[in-house]
Amino acid sequence: MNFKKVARVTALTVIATFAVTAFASPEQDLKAFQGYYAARFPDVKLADFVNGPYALDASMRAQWQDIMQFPPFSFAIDNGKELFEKPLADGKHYADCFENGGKGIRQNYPQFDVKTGQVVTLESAINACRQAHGDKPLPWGKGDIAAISAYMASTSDGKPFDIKIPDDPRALAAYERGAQAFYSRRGQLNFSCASCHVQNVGRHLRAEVLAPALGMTASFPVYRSSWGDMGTIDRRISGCFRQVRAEPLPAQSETYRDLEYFLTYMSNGLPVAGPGARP
Amino acid sequence: MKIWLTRGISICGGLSGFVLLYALTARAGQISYATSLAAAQAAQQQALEQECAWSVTGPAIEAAQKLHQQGKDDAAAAAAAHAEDLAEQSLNQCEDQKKNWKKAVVQ
Repeated sequence: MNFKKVARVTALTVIATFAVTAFASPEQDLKAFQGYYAARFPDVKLADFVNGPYALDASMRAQWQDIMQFPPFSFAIDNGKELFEKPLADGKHYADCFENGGKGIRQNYPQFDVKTGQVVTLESAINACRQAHGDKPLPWGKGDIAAISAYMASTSDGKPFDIKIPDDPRALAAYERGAQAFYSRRGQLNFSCASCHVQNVGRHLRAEVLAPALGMTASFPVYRSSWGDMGTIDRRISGCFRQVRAEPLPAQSETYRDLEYFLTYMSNGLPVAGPGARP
Repeated sequence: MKIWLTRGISICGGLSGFVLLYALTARAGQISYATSLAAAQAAQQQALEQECAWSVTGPAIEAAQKLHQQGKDDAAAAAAAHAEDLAEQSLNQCEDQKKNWKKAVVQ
């Protein structure tokens, strides 16, 4: 092998290594992400990460088990079921908008819609269904939309997340934008989502235990004691933005939907545990 | 008589100088307030469009405007400069993270 050949092979190897590092596929990201938590918390089963801080802190877990004797979200499931079954303006039902009549499908959301080139969350699909059948969209974040989402999530309890990234450059771009939103530092406090939920996961922030990003979306919508109410993922993300002194984005903005897409994809294989309860 | 005239001229001259200096300082304060406020608002608008605005910048701009309305020009100029700093820093953070977010990705 002459010198030129050796130099060419070396250069190609360096380029290939760089390409793999800089442009890891979603599958590689998923493996690394789940591997990170497994290595950091070897005593926690992967499926338990859906329980957030309760998976990591024994005393919080004991409190949570007490709370779950009478789950604070049960009223939302009942209310959501009623709303779900109520006819829409044109007499159709939510069940007509979703596959399998809207039952047992939470694990497939968010989805990438190849027709619109957009990420569709469960909540955005609920409002799209309302509008398609002549009803006004519900206000985002809490209230009826959280209740309907809670009921739909409850019908998927335990089903493993199966978020797909179709072979479409727009889907990959949405995933990348979600990853960028997750890892980018923002706000006056210069924190990213990852600062708390990856790098400092399990540590205390005042009285709270920082929850793992792995499995984070699995319990939504959640009843939060600090809200005294149910809320959807975008409500929680806006809260995080405020905590780091960043201006929150509009609910269900493209960035929020992409972020939810990325985060939920990272939880593929973990069970749906929503609705849930959080401090 | 001549002495009194000289003194009068000196006092008037001194007073005029003081008034002129005061007016110039106040004008400079106005200009610095207006310049900083416009810069802060422009930078904040850019930060909002790029989804990287800080939640403290809007209230800082409003605080500067309130001080200006109250006629507290020096304080208003200082508050506007602070708001401009915040807005500029949010844009700097935004630019930095566009390049560097991948460094934090779990490998």
